[in-house]
Amino acid sequence: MSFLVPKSLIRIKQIIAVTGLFLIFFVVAHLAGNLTFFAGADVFNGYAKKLQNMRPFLNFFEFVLFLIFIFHMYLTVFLIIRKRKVRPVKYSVQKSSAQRSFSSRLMTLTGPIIFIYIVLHLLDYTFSSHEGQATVVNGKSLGLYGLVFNSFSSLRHSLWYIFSMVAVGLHLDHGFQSFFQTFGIYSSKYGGFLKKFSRIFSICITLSYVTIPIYAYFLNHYGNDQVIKVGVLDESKL
Amino acid sequence: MNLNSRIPSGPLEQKWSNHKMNLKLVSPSRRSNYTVLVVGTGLAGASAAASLSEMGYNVKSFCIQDSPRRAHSIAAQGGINAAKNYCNDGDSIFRLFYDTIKGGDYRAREANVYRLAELSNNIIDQCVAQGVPFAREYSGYLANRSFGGAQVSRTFYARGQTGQQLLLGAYGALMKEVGRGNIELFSRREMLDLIVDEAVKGITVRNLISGELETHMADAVVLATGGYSNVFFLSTNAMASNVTAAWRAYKKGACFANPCFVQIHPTCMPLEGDTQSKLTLMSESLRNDGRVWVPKRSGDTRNPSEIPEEERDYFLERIYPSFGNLVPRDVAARSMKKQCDEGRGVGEYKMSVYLDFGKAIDKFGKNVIFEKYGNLFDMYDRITGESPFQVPMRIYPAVHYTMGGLWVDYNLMSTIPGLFVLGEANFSDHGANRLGASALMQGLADGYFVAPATVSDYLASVDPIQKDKSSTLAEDSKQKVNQHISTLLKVKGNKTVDYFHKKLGQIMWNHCGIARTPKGLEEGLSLILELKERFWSEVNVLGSAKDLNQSLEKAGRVADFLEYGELMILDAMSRNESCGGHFREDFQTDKGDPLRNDKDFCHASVWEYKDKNQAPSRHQEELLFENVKLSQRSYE
Amino acid sequence: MMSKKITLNFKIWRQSSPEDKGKFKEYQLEDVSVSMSFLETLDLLNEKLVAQNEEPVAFDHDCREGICGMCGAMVNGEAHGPLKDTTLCQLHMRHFKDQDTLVVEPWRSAGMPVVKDLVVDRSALDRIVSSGGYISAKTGSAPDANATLIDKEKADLAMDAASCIGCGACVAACPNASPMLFVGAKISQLSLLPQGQPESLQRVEDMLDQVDEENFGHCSNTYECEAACPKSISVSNIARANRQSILKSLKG
Repeated sequence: MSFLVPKSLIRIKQIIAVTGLFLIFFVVAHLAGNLTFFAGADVFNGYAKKLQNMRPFLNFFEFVLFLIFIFHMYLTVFLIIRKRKVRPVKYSVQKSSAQRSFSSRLMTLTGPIIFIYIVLHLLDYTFSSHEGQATVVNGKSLGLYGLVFNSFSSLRHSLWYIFSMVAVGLHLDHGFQSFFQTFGIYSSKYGGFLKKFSRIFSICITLSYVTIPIYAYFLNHYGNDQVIKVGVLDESKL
Repeated sequence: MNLNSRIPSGPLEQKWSNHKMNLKLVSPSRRSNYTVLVVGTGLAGASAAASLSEMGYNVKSFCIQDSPRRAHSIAAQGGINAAKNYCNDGDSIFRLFYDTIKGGDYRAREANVYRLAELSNNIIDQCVAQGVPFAREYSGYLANRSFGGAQVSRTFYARGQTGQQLLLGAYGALMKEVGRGNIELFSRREMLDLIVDEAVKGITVRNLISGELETHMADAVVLATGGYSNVFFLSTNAMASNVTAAWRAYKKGACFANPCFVQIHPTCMPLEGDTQSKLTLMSESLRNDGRVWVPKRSGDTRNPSEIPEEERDYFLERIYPSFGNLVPRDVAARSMKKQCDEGRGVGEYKMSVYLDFGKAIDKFGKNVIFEKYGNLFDMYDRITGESPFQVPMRIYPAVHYTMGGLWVDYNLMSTIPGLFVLGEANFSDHGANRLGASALMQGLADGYFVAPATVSDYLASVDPIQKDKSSTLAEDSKQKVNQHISTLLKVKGNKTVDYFHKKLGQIMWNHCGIARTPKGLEEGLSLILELKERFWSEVNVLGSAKDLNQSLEKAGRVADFLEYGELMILDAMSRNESCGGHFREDFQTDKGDPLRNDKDFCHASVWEYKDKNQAPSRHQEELLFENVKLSQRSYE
Repeated sequence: MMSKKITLNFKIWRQSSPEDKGKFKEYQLEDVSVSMSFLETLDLLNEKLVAQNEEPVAFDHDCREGICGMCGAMVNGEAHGPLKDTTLCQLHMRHFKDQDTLVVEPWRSAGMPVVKDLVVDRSALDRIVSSGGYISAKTGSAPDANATLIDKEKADLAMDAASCIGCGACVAACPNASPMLFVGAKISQLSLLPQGQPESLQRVEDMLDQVDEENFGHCSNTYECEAACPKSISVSNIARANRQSILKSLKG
């Protein structure tokens, strides 16, 4: 189990980069699932059900994902602890160059935010009942769709979700281009492009994620029954 | 004093190979019994330490800076010569030899110079193998340029950082041996004494961090401690460059040759104020495209752009039509000084001349010029705040390299058995004047190829040193050094070390600089003696000897420079001729060119230390020229 | 026209030994000519201090033309001061205004501990080079220099990387005190050249192992190093070194 206590900084970085990349894939795949929200309760819930039907393969996938996530965090914490030792006396003045991105400065902040977010997110949606009062919209239980829909009716919850997605975007902005650098794909020629690519990519990810709470919030507060009904096309499939 | 130069017999072309055959060898299994100390980690020191270690000797390497990579070789810009003839323009080993001998104004040893030319090719091979990123053509072949007045393109270069790249190559080789445990590296150490008991026995160094004195005993010592330009205070040399190691060896019996031979480099940044600590050199490759001029009228204070073509005097092109701006360094430097002395200098202090790229930019375009000199232009801009694309550069000569040094024989061994002297620290290859792009060549030839063979020869003839028997020598040496240091600390006067260094520099520049006169030298000598006396009663060195004390370090060096300046002047006074870097106004042609006296001065002057109260004695090593005809240098 | 003179306020780190805790001391320096370099200004300050019987500020410096890599300090929070692509010795006072305050601190990193005042111990960088930052070409073993042709483009890239002066500004500026720009530049230079190929992967492993042994941090791709580097060495050199490291792990 020597990989649990990696002795080489570069290996640690590489593992963080690679686990990060897998997590990015997950974020994209998860987003694809989320966007079915716009297609209405039946599609959304159908998608959720389909996933559930894939057990025990899904269990295995979740376990791997869990490991990747834990590893990503564990190694990062390992580096942060080491980092505290490498500059015992701090500078009294330290200016950061303009070159350094905002997102890279916030990595150690966005990381924990994402962690907290994920824990809450799992409690809210994964380890919660998809039935009962919380799932009822307009007098009908809409399962997971209803749960999501209702939770975003709270402004506080929506804002927290949006805030977390911005954190995800910032984390990705640095993380994604950082992956290219750590794996040596970066070069003077393509460096600028890769940085831009990862910025646009992360903005897209954040924007796509936050459309859902905004959509749900506005639907809930300003939409009429019809709209909700339109959102729930075929009730028989529920 | 028996100055046996040990020049091998036989035809010039075969001297080195014959000699190598005759040199004794130490068998590989016995080499680790011998300890060799290498002081200095510039091109010569690093390459010698690495090569000797590769052979299997026990090597200790010493440097004054925090890392061997900082040695001042790193600042050489232009390039390194080699007789590869890759350009098919008629170059050959003999031509490089001939140019070097002639460039040195016939004051160097034929055999040494030929060997240098011969080894030049191996150096390029070695450096390329080490990964030195020399400039290349699009074809992938190595690129060459003509440099410093040479009429063939034989100079290899790595942008304007050739010295840096060659040094990093040698440093890599050194660090490889350090990493493998074959060389023990001692950085931040300053050599303060040479331990001699008939033959060399070791050195005493001061650990510049802890202040502790350490002695290291050895079978041979290699000094590669560079030149003495900083006797002028303002020079292009690094701040730590000093004469101390060589000077203390001199005081232990190593003779000093041609101390008055100093090279003044024509293309340096001018003096801008009395707080200036350094005259930055810019590669003289700038003279390939830049044109040197001053206003025709003295006291002309117009901006350069306001001075029309016909009111400019492109004096190098005018006086030396065939070489123009590319005349050798000493010629260019003297011409510039003359223009400034006659009141046509430009800039705030009227102590500079223009180096104008206007015509080259018009002809080749800004991009081509930037490609060639971009880093030099940037450097100039950074220091002066003026862009050479807009305003002509201003340049003035500065002391740059010293041809004189400890006397060595063909084996690079000094008059102390077992003390070898390499690179700029010795006197051997450049005569009275060094050609551009030859210093790097000499440092590496000495270190990679000559010293490994000749040091082995010496070691083969001695038994490995018995460490226990030498402990009293070591203690003695430590005690003397300690005494010297505490004397410096005890003066407690009211003047800083730099004050004396600056004063010394002014005396040397004014009295023993670009042009020298008997009267000026006399005056200089008495001024130095006076200054020396004041130094020992008025200098103020704060702090203790027990930790990092930069004032104390400097004080020791300046004390030696004060003594050294005296020897330089003595040498300049006794050489009644003008040759190369030594220009005596009383020996010049009608046209103001230097006038050699081959009848009486075709020799190296070799100075032997007597003692504190006695003048050094002057010996001569006669120079025999069998392969070249002595001619008057003419660049018209 | 005479050079302008200004007055500057200095806040300089004074630390008598590695064990000493150290503190800032304030000095005012008048008559600083704007054509002076930063180090010449320190010289002037030291002259003044000696005159007052105060020990001068210890600082490393040597060539004073920006190539030896000996000088360096944080000036107002920036390695080698505010001017881009410039070492401290080439930073001229015309870039400061009258009455400016300059906070001068040594490089701070556990891998490069302070020796005295502004002087730090950079021997760790030497140890990293000695672990593999070279091509093992024994003296005398080289073939003709033109026997191996090298792409001009690659030779130029190698030269870009090779222009590192080993000053340590990258470590000083890095939020994690990582020397990866220094290390990456060397690995990159040697791996770009055909001569460096045979040892290429071993070199990467050895040098990076040495980095771990010294008290340096990891690279987190913030690129502060590139901005601080007086020779504007590109972080693409770190990427190239990283690529070599990946290759090494793939090949085992």
